[in-house]
Amino acid sequence: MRLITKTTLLYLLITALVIASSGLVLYNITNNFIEKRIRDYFLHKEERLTGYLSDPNVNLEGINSYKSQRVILRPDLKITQLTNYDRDTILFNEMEGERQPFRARTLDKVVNGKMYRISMYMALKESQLLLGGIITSLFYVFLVLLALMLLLNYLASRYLWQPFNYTLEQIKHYSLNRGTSLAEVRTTTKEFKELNNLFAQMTSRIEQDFRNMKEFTENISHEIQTPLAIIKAKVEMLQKSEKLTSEQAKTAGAIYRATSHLSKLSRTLGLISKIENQEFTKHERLDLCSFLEPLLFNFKELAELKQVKVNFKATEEAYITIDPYLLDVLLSNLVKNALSHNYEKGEITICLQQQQLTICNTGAPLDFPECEIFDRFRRNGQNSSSLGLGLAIVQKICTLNNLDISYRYQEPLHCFILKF
Amino acid sequence: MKILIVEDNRELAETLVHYLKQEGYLCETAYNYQTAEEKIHIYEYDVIVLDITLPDGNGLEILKQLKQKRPDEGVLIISAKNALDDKLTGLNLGADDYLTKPFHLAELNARIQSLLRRKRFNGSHEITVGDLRLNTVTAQVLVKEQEIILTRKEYELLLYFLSNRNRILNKEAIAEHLWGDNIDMADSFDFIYTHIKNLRKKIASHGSTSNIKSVYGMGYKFVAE
Repeated sequence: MRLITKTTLLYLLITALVIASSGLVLYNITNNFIEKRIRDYFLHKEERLTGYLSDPNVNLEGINSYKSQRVILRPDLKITQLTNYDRDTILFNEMEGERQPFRARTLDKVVNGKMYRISMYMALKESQLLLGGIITSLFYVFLVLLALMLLLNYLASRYLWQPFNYTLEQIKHYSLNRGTSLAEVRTTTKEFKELNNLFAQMTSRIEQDFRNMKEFTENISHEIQTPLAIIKAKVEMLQKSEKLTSEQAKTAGAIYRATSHLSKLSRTLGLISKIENQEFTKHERLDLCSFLEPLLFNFKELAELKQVKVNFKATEEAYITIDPYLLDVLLSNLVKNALSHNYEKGEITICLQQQQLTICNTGAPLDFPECEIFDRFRRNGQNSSSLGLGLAIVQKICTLNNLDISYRYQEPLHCFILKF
Repeated sequence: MKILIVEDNRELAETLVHYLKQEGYLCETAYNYQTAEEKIHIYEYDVIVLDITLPDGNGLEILKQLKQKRPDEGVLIISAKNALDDKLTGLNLGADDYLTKPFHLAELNARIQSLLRRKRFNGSHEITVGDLRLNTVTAQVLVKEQEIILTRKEYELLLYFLSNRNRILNKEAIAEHLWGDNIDMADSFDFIYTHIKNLRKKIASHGSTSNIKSVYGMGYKFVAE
């Protein structure tokens, strides 16, 4: 839920509470006022009637000709007196021609030694209309407030939250590799200013760390090569020595192989970090078919030596936009993978379609979960000469170029599907 | 044959000198940019092995100066950087070859020899070892004056062995020489074995006394009788 919606709802709740309680108060006040008026009216009327009745030539008929009062002469004085008997009733109002609520007061009064039963009526319609009017007007006020608040909030949020949304947009499009600098956000809101400052500080810190790490990786992968070259050369010299026993020769061979492995490893990791740092930024539209053919030609001999049959079919023309060096690394890694994890006399099928490239090869099933196939240093079996980085590089290149690579095992074929 | 080795790491430079001396070259070393600059202005060399990352300057500058002065001198760049751009810049400036550290000494030797063959085109494009003759221009191989037909890889393999005759070549060096970076798989050593088997058969079929010998635990060696 958006913050603005939340605050609006909260304000609406508060307003509803305020209006409801003010409605309650207003209702009570009005009600009290009406009651007091009724009381006064009845008292006044009672006084007046008492005045009429104290006249020795009282004419009850004349008094009773008013619909709002009725006086009856009680025959016996001894009957217990009825005092101030108030009730709400519905009577027919002849003036308005409809049944309406009335307040009635009935009381017994002794005037000049005679007891009269006096009934007085007062129409309640006006007061009820007043009360209803108050409640309705409060309700309308609430409705208008609600509409106004929604409108104002909408307008205000568009204006007030603009810098915030702008910052959000920047965070969304921020990329470390591209070195995008942050544009200044103009705002007078303290919170947003703080947010922008913190964001700027954070990115500059991350950028610095990133640069340091990049430098470190570059240095490591370069500087390590010279000592490795020395070790390699020395071992090569050692291996030539005639005096070497076969045991020593084996040891020298092991050192040599380990050195080669190390140097390849550091070079490959260097390549990965170069890819990650987006150092290959050429974007060329390349014809995949004419790119694949020479590549497969290079692998032809290796395949023949393993007696692996390579089928290549291109049904449609396919183009891909990517750095040519990366495409070369990507495709040769996939083909290399298909070849090196193949059986003797196995098969590789490469199928090129307009939007996808499928490379399938025969080979032993994986001895680890399928989803880990693109992880670094994930190797099938004890294939110790493989670095276990080829497919990790493939995935890295795909991620950075928005290509989709997936793996599927359909017995007996391992299939890699590259969508572009 | 005079070679100048420009390499700031003394240990590596000395190892290279040691190795190349055994090959019969005359070697000089320069450990920094300044010495290298001085030397190329005073002396002439057949080949310069040039490290481009030097503590007091860029090796590419030396390459530029050299190409202005004596464009025919062979330059072989050795660098720890494997960046494509560095390679292209180096080769565009007139370097003849580019080798990434760490390299095999046998590979360096093979590249220097091939460079020298290219530079001295007249006369020395034939390598003769025992009763075996290899012409690097026509890519013909003769055993006792009879031509044997080799595949491209077999020819490259033989040339590599002849460039490093009487030296043990280990499988890794051979694999990298033949297939370059594409070869980080275990089976590649089986591939080498297949190639060597075929090559041996072809040489032996014409009654040559020279051939490739296996050296247990280490690799292979071309022995000319």
